[in-house]
Amino acid sequence: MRRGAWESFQANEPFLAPAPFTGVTEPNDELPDELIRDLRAVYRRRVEVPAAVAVTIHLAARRRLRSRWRRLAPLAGLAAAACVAAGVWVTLPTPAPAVANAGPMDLNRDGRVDVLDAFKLAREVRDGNGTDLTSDRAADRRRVDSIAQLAVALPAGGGS
Amino acid sequence: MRKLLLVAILMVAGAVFFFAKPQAAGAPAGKVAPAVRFVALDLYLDPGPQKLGAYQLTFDSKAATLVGVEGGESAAFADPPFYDPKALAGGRVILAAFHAGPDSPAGRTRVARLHLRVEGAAEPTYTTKLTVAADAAGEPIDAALTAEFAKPEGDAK
Repeated sequence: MRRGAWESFQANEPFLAPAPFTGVTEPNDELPDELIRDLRAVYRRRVEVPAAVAVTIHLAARRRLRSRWRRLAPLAGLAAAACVAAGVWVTLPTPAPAVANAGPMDLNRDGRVDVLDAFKLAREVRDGNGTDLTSDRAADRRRVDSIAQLAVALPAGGGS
Repeated sequence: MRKLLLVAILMVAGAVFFFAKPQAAGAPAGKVAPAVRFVALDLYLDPGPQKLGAYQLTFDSKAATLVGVEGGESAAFADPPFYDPKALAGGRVILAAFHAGPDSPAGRTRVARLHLRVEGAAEPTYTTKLTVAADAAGEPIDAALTAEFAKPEGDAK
């Protein structure tokens, strides 16, 4: 069974690295014994960390993590609020679309020109006041007829 | 002499042209339905107890041709309603009328009469639709639209 590099080092045996793609192994040059001993000493030695140092590192890490979370907390709150708002907006019933103005003859702003627009202007002419009147009463009466004619106009192609 | 002969020929031809009828002597009594006839269709609106201030409706028929438009029975709507002159000689018309005076009618009232040219003996089919109706203050109201063929006033000659 082929051994890995670490196992060979621990067993103080030369590591035979397999040649790529061929599966043929070739022996590496052996390391000097002193180097082997020194390396073993470095990796086998247990490093003791003083308790004060460990605590200091621990506290510093906690402070750093807390400050990072403190910076991110408002952003997280905003993101959560945005998600809630989006969810509410999606589930709310769609309001009725605003009626588009059908032009200057749509006096009652209901989106179409019909007899109600002519009737509105006719009542204003009768009463002598209204938002749609001009200074020329005769012109206003003609406008009443124009609006009524527009309301009953057939589309191009006639009445068939 | 030739002039007298010519006049006599013309008189005979005229008599044949004017007096020749489908029913011959001895034929059974009874009229033959004309190929083309004219009928009147009355349009009624019933706004209930509210006073009718304005209306707009549509008439559509593929079996009749519109030849005339009359007003209604009440003084408020006695004048012919607004309509597009292009509708004459066609089968579709939009009618609209309003009355800004105090004497607007309430209850069922005839608002217009349409004169139609019809071919054949059968009553023409048609559709009517009320687009909008309003009371005397211009507020939209519900109203029932009905139509009836007017009774002929005697034999048409």
